[in-house]
Amino acid sequence: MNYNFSLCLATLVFAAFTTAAPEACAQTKAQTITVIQPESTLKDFIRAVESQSNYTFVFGQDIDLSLKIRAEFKDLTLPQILQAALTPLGIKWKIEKSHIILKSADSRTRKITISGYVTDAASGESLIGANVIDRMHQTGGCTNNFGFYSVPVYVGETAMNYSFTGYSSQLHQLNIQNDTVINISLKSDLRLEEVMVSAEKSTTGFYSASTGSIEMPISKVRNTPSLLGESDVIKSIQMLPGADAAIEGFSGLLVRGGSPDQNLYMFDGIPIYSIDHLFGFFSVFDPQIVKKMDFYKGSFPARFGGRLSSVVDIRSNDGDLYNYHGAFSIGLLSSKFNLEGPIVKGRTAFNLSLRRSYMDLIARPFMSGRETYYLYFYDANIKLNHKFNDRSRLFLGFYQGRDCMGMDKKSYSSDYYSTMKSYDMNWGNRLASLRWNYQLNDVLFLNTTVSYNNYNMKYDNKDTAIDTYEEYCEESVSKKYHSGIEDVSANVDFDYYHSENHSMKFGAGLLHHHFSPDVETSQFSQKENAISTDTLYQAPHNSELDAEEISLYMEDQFQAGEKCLINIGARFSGFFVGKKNYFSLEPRLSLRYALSSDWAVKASYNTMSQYISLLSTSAISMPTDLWVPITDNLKPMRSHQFSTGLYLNRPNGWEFSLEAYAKLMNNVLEYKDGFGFLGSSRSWDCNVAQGKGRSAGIETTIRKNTGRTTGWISYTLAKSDRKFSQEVNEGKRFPFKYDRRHSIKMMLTHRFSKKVEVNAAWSYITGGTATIPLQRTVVSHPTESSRDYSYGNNIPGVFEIDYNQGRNNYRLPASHLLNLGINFIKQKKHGIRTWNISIYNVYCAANPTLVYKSTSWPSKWFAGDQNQIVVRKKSLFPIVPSVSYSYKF
Amino acid sequence: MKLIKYFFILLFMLLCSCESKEILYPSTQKVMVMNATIAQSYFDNILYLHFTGSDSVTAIIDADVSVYVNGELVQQINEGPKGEYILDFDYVQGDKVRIEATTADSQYHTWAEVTVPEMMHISSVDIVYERVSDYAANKHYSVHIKDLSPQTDYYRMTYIQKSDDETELSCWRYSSHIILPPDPILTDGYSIQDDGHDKELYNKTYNRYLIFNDSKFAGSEAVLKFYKEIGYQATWPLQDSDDIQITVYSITEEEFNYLRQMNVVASNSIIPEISEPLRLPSNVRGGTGFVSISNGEPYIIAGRKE
Repeated sequence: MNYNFSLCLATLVFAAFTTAAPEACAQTKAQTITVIQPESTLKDFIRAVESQSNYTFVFGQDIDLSLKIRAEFKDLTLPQILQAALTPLGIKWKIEKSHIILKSADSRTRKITISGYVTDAASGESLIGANVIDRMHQTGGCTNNFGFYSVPVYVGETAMNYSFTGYSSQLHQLNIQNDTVINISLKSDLRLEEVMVSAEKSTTGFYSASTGSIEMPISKVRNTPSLLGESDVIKSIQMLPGADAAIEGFSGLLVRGGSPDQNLYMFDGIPIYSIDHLFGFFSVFDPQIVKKMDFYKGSFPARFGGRLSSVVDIRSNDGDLYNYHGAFSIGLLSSKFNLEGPIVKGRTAFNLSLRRSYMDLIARPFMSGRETYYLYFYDANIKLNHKFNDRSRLFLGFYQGRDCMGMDKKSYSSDYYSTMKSYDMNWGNRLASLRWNYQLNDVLFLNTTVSYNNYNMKYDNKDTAIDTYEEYCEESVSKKYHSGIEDVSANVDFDYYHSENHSMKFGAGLLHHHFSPDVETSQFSQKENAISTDTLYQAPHNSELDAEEISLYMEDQFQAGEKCLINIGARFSGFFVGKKNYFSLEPRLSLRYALSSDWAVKASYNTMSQYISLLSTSAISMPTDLWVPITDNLKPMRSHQFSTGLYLNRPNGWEFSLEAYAKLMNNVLEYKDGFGFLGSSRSWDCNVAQGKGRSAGIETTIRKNTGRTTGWISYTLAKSDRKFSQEVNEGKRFPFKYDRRHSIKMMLTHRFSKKVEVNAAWSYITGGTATIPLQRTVVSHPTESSRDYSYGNNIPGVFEIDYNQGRNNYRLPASHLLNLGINFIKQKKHGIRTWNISIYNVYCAANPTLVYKSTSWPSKWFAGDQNQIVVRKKSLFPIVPSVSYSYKF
Repeated sequence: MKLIKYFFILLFMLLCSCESKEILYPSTQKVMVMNATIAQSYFDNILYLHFTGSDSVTAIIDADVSVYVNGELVQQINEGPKGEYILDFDYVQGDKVRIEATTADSQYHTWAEVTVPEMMHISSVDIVYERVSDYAANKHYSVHIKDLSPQTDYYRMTYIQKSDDETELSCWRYSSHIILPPDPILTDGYSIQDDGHDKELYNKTYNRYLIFNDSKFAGSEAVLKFYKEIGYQATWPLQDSDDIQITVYSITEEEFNYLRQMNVVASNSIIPEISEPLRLPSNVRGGTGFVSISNGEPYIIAGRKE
């Protein structure tokens, strides 16, 4: 901002030279002027003087225009005023012709930059969002996603304060004359574990310009009581206002009237497609490796794009550079193991984590030898980081997670005849990334990422029959199917720190997609004695598709005056698929105005574009769901979101927020009436219609961040609907499937002592909608005679089917759920042991998972009794107690 | 039953609390249903009138039906046993046909308006016999047609075999008996053939109603290919005395979309546990149902008479 102002002044100087110079020269310095500004800045003072004289000020960047000045000068000459006002600020002045030239009186006003990394003292792990504040001038910044900071300070004596949630802060008295690199290691302080300090320059929270964004504390994620004691990142987000689960107990995420595929999940900066294990009961993000998680639903920084509704930005631990340590956890469903430590002390470290469920192992002894079924998932995550020097670091990450299910079955109908049947289905993600961080100079930070991302599903089925009665004869049918999406991407991101009040992020990305929506082959084999024949069928719809995506972005955050913080940016993206090239320009703007030190108002406007979508059969995450790109016939989805809010942040740890939003979505997809995804992507773009969606709501939250009891309670009032052409619901507007009017959520943690803490999560959400055929109708179909009895129906030419009066015509009943958990924590000789006892659905609420139409028969028949058509609901998960043990060393 | 069903059965057996509760069943008002699939080559053209119902439909037998062609009243019917009203009126391509129905108590009134599509002719049909074994052969048909216009046109084909002693009736039944080789036109968007082999992972939708559009031959000629198995005949040349009637109808885009979804119904490819319930499009105002008029000239192939 200073720079911009200087430019303006320079322009004014030029104008003054060319137009008013002669007149100005004639002016006498004895002219008296009056400046009464008891509390103002140097910038205001300059404006006041210029408005009453023909002099213009000329100065360089060494002059800080935000310096406070007390100007109460009445009828004084210009030199007298300048002397009185500027000398105390250490600013020299000189009048030359029509200009007043300002210079810094000493090096005190010259600014230099302190930059470096803030890390954990014990592990060397970089700390994201740590505060770095110059206490003498109350300016500063915070560390970025790689723990890097850059803060401009005045030359000479300064006092730098470094702080981070759960760590003891450090104050350093420094005498600095030149740009300096200072790396700080903060020590963990468990006494502060539950104290959440909002980073003043963070991209989320009270002090940021963003609306609807929050950094979810990992301690809260780990403590959220959940099904079978398996804490889960996504289920914790579902406890926030504006975010809901598609179905209770599952990890699908619905944000502000958006569908599950409108959420961008970034794992260490790489988009991840399938976030679910076991059909969505658990997410792939293991909380023990998560270092930081930001959730955006209102304002979207320009560096994020590609989805309409939300961004979940998850960063994992890099690995301890100095010591070996780890953790393990044993639960009813799965066990986890984590180990990290140095490979070369202080230079290279690794972080390894493994997780596997063992339902299959427990069930195996109970199965007969002829029949074996299995269902399990696993995650493996390894991360290496190497520190070349203070400016340069390299990270190598690899993740693989898969779900596997299958069956082997053998049967013998006689001594000579046997059959074997087997199938195996497995699906999951594989990610690999190479990231290089380099500090180009004290104000410019570079992050370069090359990544590979693959999600696929494979299915293999084989039926074999062997007959050895007279001759050996073997017949087999083998089916193979796979689908998936494969990405290779390269990104370059820059962080530029111009001043404590002005920073920029910019970068570019290139992404190559390879879609294999569904590829299917079948093989029929026959072996008779020595002769064998094979017949191979290729399904007619087998197709693979490539697409390219490019992106350029820039976001600029600056302080406009003392009270206003602005984050403005834009993202330009292009998608090249088939014969079509699509381009989008997405402006982003977030404003924050501080009403006082405790109160702030914010407003934002965001445009987002989405080029790929998920073909899904149901609200539950299925391995058969397919990611497909837009096509020549379908345009990219776009959203425009306006949101505004009022926020309170009290020093005693209480927070209050009230946010309102309105979101308009264009080109959203919906299956045409009568069509659905039936496992094949063939001609899928002919089966969907593009239309408009809108959603609006109010979200309010009261949060307590400090003390023995922490947590939040939130209420959301929301509405979301869709409108399409005649092909969907006859062109009539209809409620969105996940339109839920009211939502109340409460999340509490109470620490009785260092050894015992209790967690409670309760939610009440009004029901979404479903399409339930409540009546029967008849349909006709063409026959040559109009007399067709082929359906066994007594109405020729027509037959009965269910009749839906409208899409999402049925409002589901409300869901409510209470989960409790208690942790018993004990410091042992080599680490910390935690026993967790959880109860899911404490009062056994029968929440609807599946709703369908059925017939109710009278228990006893009496004359005149008739069966009744009713709607029934099925509920998953009654009260589910669980226990888990974990040990951190 | 396909694998995807097993997922859900397994899932629910493992995890379902086995609780099934009745919840609110909202009262719904019955709706008048009007259906007709009209073609001049049909033996009968019937208008079906019913009321929807929560358990089953009810036939409307005493409605007043009026048929207008280009705004002129051409037929009135006052009763329809079993809800069937026999239509008997003339029309030509381009006519606007409007059918109105009002219940006797005048509480329900529905109407539908359809523009008669252009008449479609088959240019010629070639037949080739292929002997596949001593006792079986395939009868290959090549139906030559010419697209009606350079714009998008929609068609459906029917195949009828008239034996000496009976008239086999169902298009639905016949369509499943003829075999579609990888014909780019007739199989567009559908699997090759429901031949009984369980080759694929999912339930697929088959082109039961033999609908297609001209996306692959807009404004030009095309050949529709299919064959029929003729088996278990001891002599050669084969006895093939049945008359064959093949018709390619020109249909409206609305009927094309309607029959696409009827293909889903007829293929039984909906998985109710996980799919959204089917909703067929309707062109009936004031109620629901579908009224269509197809226009095509039958092409008759006389059988070999000894």
